[in-house]
Amino acid sequence: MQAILKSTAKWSIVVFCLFHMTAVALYTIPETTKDPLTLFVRTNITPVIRPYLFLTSQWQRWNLFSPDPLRRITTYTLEKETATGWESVPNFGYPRMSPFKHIDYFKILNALDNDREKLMPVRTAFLQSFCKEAGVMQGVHVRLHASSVVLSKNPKEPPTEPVPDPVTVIPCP
Amino acid sequence: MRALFSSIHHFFFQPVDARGFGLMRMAWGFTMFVYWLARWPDITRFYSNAGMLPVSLESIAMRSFLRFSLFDVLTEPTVVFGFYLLMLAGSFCCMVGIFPRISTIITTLLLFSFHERNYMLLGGGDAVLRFTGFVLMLAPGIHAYSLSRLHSQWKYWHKHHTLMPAPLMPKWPVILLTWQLVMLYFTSGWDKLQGTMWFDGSAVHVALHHLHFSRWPLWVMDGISLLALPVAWGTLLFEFLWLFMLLPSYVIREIPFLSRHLLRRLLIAGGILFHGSIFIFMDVGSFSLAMLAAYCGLLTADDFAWLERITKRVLHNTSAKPIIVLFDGQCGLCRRSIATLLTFDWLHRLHPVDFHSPERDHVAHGLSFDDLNRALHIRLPNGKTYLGFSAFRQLSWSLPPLWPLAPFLYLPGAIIIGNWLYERIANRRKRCKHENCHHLDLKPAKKALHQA
Repeated sequence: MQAILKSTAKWSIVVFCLFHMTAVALYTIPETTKDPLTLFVRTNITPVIRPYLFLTSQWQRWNLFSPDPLRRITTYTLEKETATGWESVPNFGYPRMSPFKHIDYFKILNALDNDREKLMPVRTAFLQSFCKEAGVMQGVHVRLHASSVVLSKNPKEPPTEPVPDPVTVIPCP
Repeated sequence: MRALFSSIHHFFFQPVDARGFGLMRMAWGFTMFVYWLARWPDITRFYSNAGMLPVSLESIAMRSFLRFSLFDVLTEPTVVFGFYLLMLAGSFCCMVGIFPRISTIITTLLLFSFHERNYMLLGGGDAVLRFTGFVLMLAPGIHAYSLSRLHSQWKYWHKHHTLMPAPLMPKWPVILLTWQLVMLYFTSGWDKLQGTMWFDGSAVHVALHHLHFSRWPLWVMDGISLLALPVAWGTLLFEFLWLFMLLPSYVIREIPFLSRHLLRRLLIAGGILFHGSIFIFMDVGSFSLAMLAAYCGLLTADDFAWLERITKRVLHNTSAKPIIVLFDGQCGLCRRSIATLLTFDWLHRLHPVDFHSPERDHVAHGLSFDDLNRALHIRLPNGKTYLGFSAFRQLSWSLPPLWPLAPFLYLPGAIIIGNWLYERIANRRKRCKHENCHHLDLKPAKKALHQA
């Protein structure tokens, strides 16, 4: 009996490993690939393995700096309303706010910019979360300035001129 | 059919050295601890209801199905912060090996929960930490290089006067890890081929000059950009070479000058160069460190032997002579301390000698019994002798787990505090609290030794 249980456990591990490996391989197929086989896999097989990867938090995409790296550079300034006008919030000197915070804030602001309309409530909540630490009273406004340049593919050419993005103004809660 | 089953069984369950996974657990715990510690001021902003993504807004920013996070239920900032502290403590325990199994499971599950609560923050490094944590959580052999193993080591050493052999584990966790790394590199390389900028090297130029990623001033990045084309092509080649890891050994053997060992070592060396360079020149979060941590899991017994040889040759000038450690074999605390030092002696540099044994006469010229009885002595291959805290400080350079501590032992005042602490511990060793302490019987032995 013990031998049967041991054997069952071992073969379960083998089946699990094969399933896990297949699931990871199929899910990581780049989204940029459009050949018929990949499209077939994406339409018919990925939905089957997706629940397992979501439940085990093993979903993943490896589009790091690919297919081409990001060329847009956006710099941000957060300002608070004062009696005399607008004043910069000192701890938000993005992109060089702090070497430890930098990459997290880059990802958030990049995600908020990529889907600006849909994520506007999240953008508002994100900016409101700075009100308290910036010492801004309820009802007083803060605003986020952003401007973007695009790096040239040619190393000898300079980046484009800065283009201001729409300013986000929100009241502090 | 039986042969097929047998070969499948052998493929997944052949015993392999578990030290690689022990080292991966340590490196993973370290990476987790460092990067999550840096998020300390922002935890409630990122993950609680008081921050940027209250539960009411999740539906517009996150997927609405098959997403489970503890922090969808526990949303109060203080509670979230409490679990964050638990995860930090778990990472630390993983790193040093306190209850490695339970701490790895808790840390990994909390990591999943934090990631699923707000994945606007996620990047490549986070995905690497997730899959490494997942494999570690399931793998049977993660207790190597852990403090929890020290007690078993001590008991074994007490009984056999040698350390336990390296732990073994079945191969399937290594297979999962290898597959994961191959998929990571292959699909990343494949995706790069769909673009245009990797072929002419401009991708490297742009990545190096992107304000959010570059760590160095523009003129440094301009200099490195001169190598943009070879770096771009080298990156693609390196990523696709990982596919060779899927080839069976008999195919690899057919390739001139190549073996599986050599291939794996070349890929690991290439990866250290690749990710190390990214870490030095670019800020891409935890990605570089997380990848280097994952590489540890690929190390085999041969790799450890090779690393030991190389490290000894480079750091200790290939001296064949060991460091003599003279200790009191009749004191339980001293024996336990020696067993601990031997556990840290990954380079096999120490030769412990009980100064009550006749071997003392051969190795401890010029040292009296009273000298030796006062403190731990070490004699280096060059003949220099150190005792007490100074001996410990010297030893720290030869014991890899103590390398991070070694420079701190030379800080101003460290010698005073160290000597004071050592003296206190050394005085207490005679109090018979540490098993088989026969100090009461020492006098006749001491007398006999003096007469001799």
